[in-house]
Amino acid sequence: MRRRWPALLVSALFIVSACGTGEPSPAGSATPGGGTPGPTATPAVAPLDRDPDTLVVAVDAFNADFDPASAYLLSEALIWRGIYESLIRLKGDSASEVEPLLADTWEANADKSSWTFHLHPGVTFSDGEPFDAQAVKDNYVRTIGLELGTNFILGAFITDPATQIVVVDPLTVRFDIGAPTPHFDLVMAAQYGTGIVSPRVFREHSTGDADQGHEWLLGNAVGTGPYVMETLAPGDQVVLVQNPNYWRGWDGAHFKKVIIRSIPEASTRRQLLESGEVDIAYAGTPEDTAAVRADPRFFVGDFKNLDLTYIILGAYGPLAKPEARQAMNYLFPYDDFLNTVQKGTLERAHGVFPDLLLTQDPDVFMYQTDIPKAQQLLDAAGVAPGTELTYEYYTGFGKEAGLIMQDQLAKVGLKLKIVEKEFSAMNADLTTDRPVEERASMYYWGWWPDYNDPSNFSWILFHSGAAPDACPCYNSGYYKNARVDEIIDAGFTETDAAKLAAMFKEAQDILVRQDPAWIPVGQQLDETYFRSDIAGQVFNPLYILTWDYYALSRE
Amino acid sequence: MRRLLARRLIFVVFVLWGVTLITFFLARVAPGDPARLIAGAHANAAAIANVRALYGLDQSLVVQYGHYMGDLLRGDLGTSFVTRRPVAADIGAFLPATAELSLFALLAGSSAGIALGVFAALRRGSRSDTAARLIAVASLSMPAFWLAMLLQLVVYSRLGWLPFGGRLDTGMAPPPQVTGFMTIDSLLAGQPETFVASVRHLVLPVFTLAMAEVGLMARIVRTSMLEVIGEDYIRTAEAKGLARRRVVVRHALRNALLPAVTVLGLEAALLAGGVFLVETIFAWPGIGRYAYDAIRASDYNAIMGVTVVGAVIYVAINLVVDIAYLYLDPRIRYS
Repeated sequence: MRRRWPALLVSALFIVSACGTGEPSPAGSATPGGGTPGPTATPAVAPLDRDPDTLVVAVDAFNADFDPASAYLLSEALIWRGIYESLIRLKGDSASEVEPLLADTWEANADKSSWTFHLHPGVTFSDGEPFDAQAVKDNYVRTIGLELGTNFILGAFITDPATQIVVVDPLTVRFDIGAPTPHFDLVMAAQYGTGIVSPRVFREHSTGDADQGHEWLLGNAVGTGPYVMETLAPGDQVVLVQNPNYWRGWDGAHFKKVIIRSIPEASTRRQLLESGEVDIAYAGTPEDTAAVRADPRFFVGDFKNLDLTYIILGAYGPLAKPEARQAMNYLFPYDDFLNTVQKGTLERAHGVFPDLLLTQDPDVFMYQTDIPKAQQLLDAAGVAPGTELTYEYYTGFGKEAGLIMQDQLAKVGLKLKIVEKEFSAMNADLTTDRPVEERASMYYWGWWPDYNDPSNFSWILFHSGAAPDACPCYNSGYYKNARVDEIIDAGFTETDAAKLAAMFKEAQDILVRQDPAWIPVGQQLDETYFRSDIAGQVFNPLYILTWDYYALSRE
Repeated sequence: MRRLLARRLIFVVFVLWGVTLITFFLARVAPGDPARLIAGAHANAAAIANVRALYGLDQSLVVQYGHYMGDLLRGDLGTSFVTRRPVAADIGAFLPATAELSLFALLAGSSAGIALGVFAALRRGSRSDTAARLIAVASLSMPAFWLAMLLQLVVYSRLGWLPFGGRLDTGMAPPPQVTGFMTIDSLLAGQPETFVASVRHLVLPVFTLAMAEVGLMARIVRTSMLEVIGEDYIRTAEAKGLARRRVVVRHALRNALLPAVTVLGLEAALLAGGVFLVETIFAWPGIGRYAYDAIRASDYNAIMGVTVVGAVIYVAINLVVDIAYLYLDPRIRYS
């Protein structure tokens, strides 16, 4: 779960929004619905009374963890995306095409069980250490072996990295997976767990086998990337400056410095953007977004990413029977919620798999709000009138959906107790095995996959082996369906694309219509705010809410 | 005085012990599992168990408390689960920003409040008195977050008079840290531009925090002054022909300040509550932000560290208030 922590003071935000701050133009600013947004014909630009070669980014919070073996939060990635590089990366705005980065070319054997990468020559880390195949192996052996969180990504395929990762020559590295892995290139392009650190860190800053430089990397970073960290002031700002020896060079337009500021209050971020003090700001409330979108001095993202928002339905207690969970799906007022509460910042989800995910079925069954139908299903499930369900959400994320569900449930004679928790408390609730009476019936939550693969996305959310009684994973509704398990397991090694699509079409139908696991609420839109003179921004549906600083410049 | 200090120090030990005891157990019985958060979203059970063992979270609460107190007595506040740095270092990095903000707010608020209170008392029943009382009520009634946002919209956004957010202008390098007070450090470093920027950045958050202080102080000082100026010794002073100014400042105000000093001590502590909110709105990198993140992440050591340091400051302020009584009213004796 890499969701960023929400800003506080939601009520205060509404007050500010109600006051209004900008002077929105009736003409909407143009941001293409995907691909590369940019300014429209309007020349309007916010004031800039500071160094134009410095990019200033305002986010709600950042965390300092620069160890690719453990850094698994968006609030960390938004810093080290400028510092670390992987062998390959997703191309432009695609979730399923890759392009070279530290590796120039790569190929797989016939059954795609072995992948070979040919590295770019002459690359060095910012500490002068040469980048070669041994550095790649050292990094991934460490990331998988330390088991600090991101090991799951490559470790799902490589269980014995010391043997399975082979240094063929200084510029060639091979991954012998041992089973067909048709999408290993997408795995290697994942944002998390694939970054490469200078191996000198592992040698010179290790306090032992369980550390291998981990503690040092919590406050320092040495990569091959375009920027190096100049200063880090936790809770305040991080300053990145150009790596003078960057292997792709500094020809063309690039920022000399990047300042990432922690501004938890959404209204403050907006004010700083409007006054010209920041170039990029995380989106605030839907009202803020509407106002900034209408201001020609800025462009606002409108790009659908793979971040799905949903309500987990507990397959136990009152919702144990599929009919009861179907009833919950019929009760949710999708259109009203998305239009009135979310104001278009979420797009209606098409089932439990996000659009753009490989094998996503566009013809999936879609529920329409139908109270009598829900009543009928609840009667069939034997849910007695007056039964009380519980809905849990974390502060700043999901309260409104809970209130709406409370109202909807009242229409069929049920009660809903709404429980607010802090993020860490809810995270523990979702992943800890507890007696049925201590579990909530519903949880408001969100997820996106590490890479574009239906099994990667599904396993941790729907597989019976990922329920809290089996592992601290996120099948928090204790969903158990033998056929879904079978499909997910087979999907990891299925090389026939048509067969894979057919399998997951079936899984989707089970998970949505026959035996629902969730109420799929919506798919997130990246609505980051940009000054109109910022060029080079390309939204990618999996590199969510982070930026390729090297590609950005000021026009 | 020495006996007073000795007695207070014994008292401090018990207060701090009580604070650690309550905070330690409350933080741990609250929902949340820091081991899962530290280990990462996809960490397996073994990795989470490793984290628990690493931070001693797998031991009984009593044993954990024993270890914590042992470390505390050696001056070690532990390591933050979130920043992974020593809590003492984190507090050292975040506290000066809060201290600078709070101190300026306290000074500005109490000075303005005392002046307003004296002004109103000396013009009792007049229109000026009514106006002063209205100002006091208005400043007390105005929620800090509302005022902060009003200033953001009007002074910063519309008028562009003052900066908003952070301690310095974007991209401006901070001076070498000596005191942690940006205003002082910039002067020590001979950086007048940085000094001006730091003062300009202080104005709005200080004004926001000081407003409630102004109202409270003005009301207390006015009431107190009205009592004092009716006393016989004031009439005597006036009858002896002392200048009005001297009577007010030397005789009336000094005695009227006793309740104000009590409130000032309490206000200094209460300011911490307001600072949490104001720091968030003004993106001020202080201890409030640090504590907020610590609470959200069940970062036990950081929560404990902030609480212990806060308690020490609170007790120290109260001690200063007690000593101030002795100076302001020589009749006071602590038995």
